[in-house]
Amino acid sequence: MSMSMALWLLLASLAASALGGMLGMASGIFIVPLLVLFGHFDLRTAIGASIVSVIACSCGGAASYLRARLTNVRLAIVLEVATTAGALSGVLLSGWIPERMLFAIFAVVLALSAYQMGSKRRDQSNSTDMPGHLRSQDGWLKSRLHSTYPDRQAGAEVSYRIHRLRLGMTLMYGAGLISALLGIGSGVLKIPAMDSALRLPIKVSSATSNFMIGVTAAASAGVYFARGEIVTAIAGPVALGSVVGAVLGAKLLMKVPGESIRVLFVIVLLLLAIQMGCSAAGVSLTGGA
Amino acid sequence: MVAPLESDAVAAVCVERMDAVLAQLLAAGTWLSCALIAAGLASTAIADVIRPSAVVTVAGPLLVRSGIAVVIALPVVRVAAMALMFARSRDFRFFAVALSVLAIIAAGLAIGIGWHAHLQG
Repeated sequence: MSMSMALWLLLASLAASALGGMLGMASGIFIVPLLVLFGHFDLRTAIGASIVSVIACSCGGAASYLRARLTNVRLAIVLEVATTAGALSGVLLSGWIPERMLFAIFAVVLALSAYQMGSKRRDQSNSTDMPGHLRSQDGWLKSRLHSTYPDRQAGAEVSYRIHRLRLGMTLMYGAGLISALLGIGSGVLKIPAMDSALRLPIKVSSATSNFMIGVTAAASAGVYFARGEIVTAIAGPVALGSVVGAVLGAKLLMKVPGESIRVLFVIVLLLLAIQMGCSAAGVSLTGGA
Repeated sequence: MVAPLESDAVAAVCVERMDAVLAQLLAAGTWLSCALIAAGLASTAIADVIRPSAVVTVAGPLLVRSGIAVVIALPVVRVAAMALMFARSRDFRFFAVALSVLAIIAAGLAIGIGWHAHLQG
């Protein structure tokens, strides 16, 4: 691999990750199409590189969420049982699913992500003081998962309860499977799981899902790495660029008006969905293989 | 009602301590992996430009590979650290949950590699 290609990979993933970070999104959903459609890399090589960058961004972003006490680590470790099991299923399936079908699944995930980005997330959590009699109705596991987080705007500690844990675990299993198959963070399934099923406050939801995605992705990346399916010359610059981009994106998040970028991203995601859909049908719009 | 409040307070202190340790671990690991990958890319660039000894030529890809290995291992080390902290605070149920996650990752690694070898023939 030439240095100019390494530099292209570094800058392209830096840009994808910075743009994704401005909307609080993981970069994987942009990196795979970027590598395949514009870098003309093989889909499985792109997935291998992307999954490493997903882990790096998760670990890089987790520290600040943990210090702000927004991450529910107990809930994360429970949900990770489902996400890693999903990742394990994804790894086993990956050898069987034809590349065209992977393109088609990716196109659907991109289209759903565009829809999610178009419709704003609503906070469906219900803050509560959690009296003892309410806790005793939950099993030992669920009762240990309710928690609190510091709300800086309100200047107070806010309590929240966990709802529909089984449904959340089921959706998380699907998120792990999609993550392993496509090399992405699977926000498309994690957001409904966290917001609608578990009804977490949005800040806790973002922090906890970011914390979890590293382990979920590592479960599949470990296998891909051991099998020699991760091309280090590609994954290295992509991971480095993604981490730097995520840091830049988080800083830009505060300065750039969110609404115009949201509309732009919906359009970009839809265009990528169309292109990946065309690849699934065997039609190339970018002149690549 | 007093006992649950006391246990809640103890649990909150444990979680806060765990948050701090995990934040340090993940931040340090990310820095280490980025430094290894950056050093590897820089070595490769030097080897490309001035064509020096074989050592520099080999070192670049090896450093990048090590950086990627650190990235992949970091979340697994994080789960192992959580398991240890749950065990130390005698929270054996969550210790078992953390061990389950490690067991699934290990099983995935064993089955994934074994299945691949089987398919390869």
